[in-house]
Amino acid sequence: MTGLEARSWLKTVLRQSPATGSSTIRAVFIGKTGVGKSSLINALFGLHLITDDAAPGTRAVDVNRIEIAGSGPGNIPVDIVDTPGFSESRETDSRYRRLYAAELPKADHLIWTVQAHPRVFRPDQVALQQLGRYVKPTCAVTVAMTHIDTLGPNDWDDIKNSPSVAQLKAIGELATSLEEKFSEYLGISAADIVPCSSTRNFGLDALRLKIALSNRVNKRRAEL
Amino acid sequence: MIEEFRSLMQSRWPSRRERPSSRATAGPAGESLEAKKLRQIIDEERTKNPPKVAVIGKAGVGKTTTINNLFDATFVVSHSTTGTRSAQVKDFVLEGGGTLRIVDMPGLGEGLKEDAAFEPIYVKELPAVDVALYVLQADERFLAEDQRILAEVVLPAMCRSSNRQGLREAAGRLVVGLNKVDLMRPGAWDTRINYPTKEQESTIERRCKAIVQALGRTLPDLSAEKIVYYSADRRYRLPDLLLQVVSSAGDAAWKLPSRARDPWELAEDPDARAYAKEREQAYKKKHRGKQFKEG
Repeated sequence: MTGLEARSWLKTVLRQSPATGSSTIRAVFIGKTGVGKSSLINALFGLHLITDDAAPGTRAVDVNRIEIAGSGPGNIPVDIVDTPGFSESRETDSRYRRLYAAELPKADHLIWTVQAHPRVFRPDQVALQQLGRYVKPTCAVTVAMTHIDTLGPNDWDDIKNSPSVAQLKAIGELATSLEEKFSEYLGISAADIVPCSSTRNFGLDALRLKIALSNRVNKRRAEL
Repeated sequence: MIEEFRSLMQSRWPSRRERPSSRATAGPAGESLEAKKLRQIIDEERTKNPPKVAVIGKAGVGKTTTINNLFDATFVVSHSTTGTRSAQVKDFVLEGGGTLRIVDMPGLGEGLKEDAAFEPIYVKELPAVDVALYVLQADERFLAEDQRILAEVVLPAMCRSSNRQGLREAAGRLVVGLNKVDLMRPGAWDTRINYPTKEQESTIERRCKAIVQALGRTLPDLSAEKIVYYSADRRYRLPDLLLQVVSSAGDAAWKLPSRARDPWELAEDPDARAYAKEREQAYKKKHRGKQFKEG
């Protein structure tokens, strides 16, 4: 689906399902340090959050208001919340825990961001053990799997701008293992895992759609 | 005797064509009796009691790829989520005779369930190794997990005596390698000469400093210069990594090989390849000259 197609599709979908409950969607991005939360937000919504390639760039919670859908009376305001990453060091982890505990209950959509490689998800599991209870049951959850362009043999298909056959296989296997590792703490299914790459502009439409449809997902989750 | 020992050590150096491993004990023509005896002792010791190197680190950082390219050998590398599931001992026949034992360890930090299965393997294998190579990935920075692995699993297992001195000695037998520097952003790898770009170099330098800061409490003797940054995929700086492994091996250092795979083969620029070939030939010529003189 091209960006233009996604936009028109998004418009139709949003007209059919007006936002329920609170009018703004609060989308919280959380994940280990350096996995590319700020870069992902910048690539998704054209924002200019400060990023750094060597040291942690985000030191405090950063909230930016944007509007999704672009036209018509059905515009939905979305608060994009960027958080400092965990697992930078033991010291920062204990400092940031309070911050997450305050931020998570307010979230309408939690975008748990992970880096596709290295395959290190123990810190995520530990964080979920501690923080899972702060996520309200109506909150939608998406796992954004970043850095997929350099996954495995690092042979991204530049012509199609898509993962190579070997990378697709690795993405599939990784999604299966992520589902297993996360489902114990957050009710997610394979459909909630979105492989993406900020630098290659890949998988971003899918993520934008998920965020736009947060309230619809919330309703579904609440019914379950 | 010293002269002969020196020439012996020199003859351990490259040129596969001249010195295939099957002829390892033959030695150069006209070798004296003492030198021959010394060579036999070295070979015997290498075969009987091979130096042992463990390659360790988080899951998916490229431990197996590093082993394959560091010692010019080919083993299967999985690009899937499975990776190495048990300690795999691989014996490498050295160019100068004898063997080198590499222990390819399963990666840690993949998940709570996986760690419960893999950490006992570390506790079992690490006490017997001469050197451990701890591999980090350059485009990743969640080092709290490395802090945990080093402080709770690796160092306690490597300690030969449970005091501060023992901890320091264990840390001295640990080499920190930073793999996948070719993936560093900003900037892209220069595939023409198979070398990092200027932007990448400056980011690599900053990463090394940040790593020292993060791991400083666990490894007090670590400095930015001691971190060997490399790329196993691109065979970039593998000789530097090998040298660091050798010099940290303590008593077992002399048994280790001194040649890694050639990075210039991967350069796309034919001029760069030709230059490397020329250099290699000059090296061999110089080396041959020395051997003739001995004879």
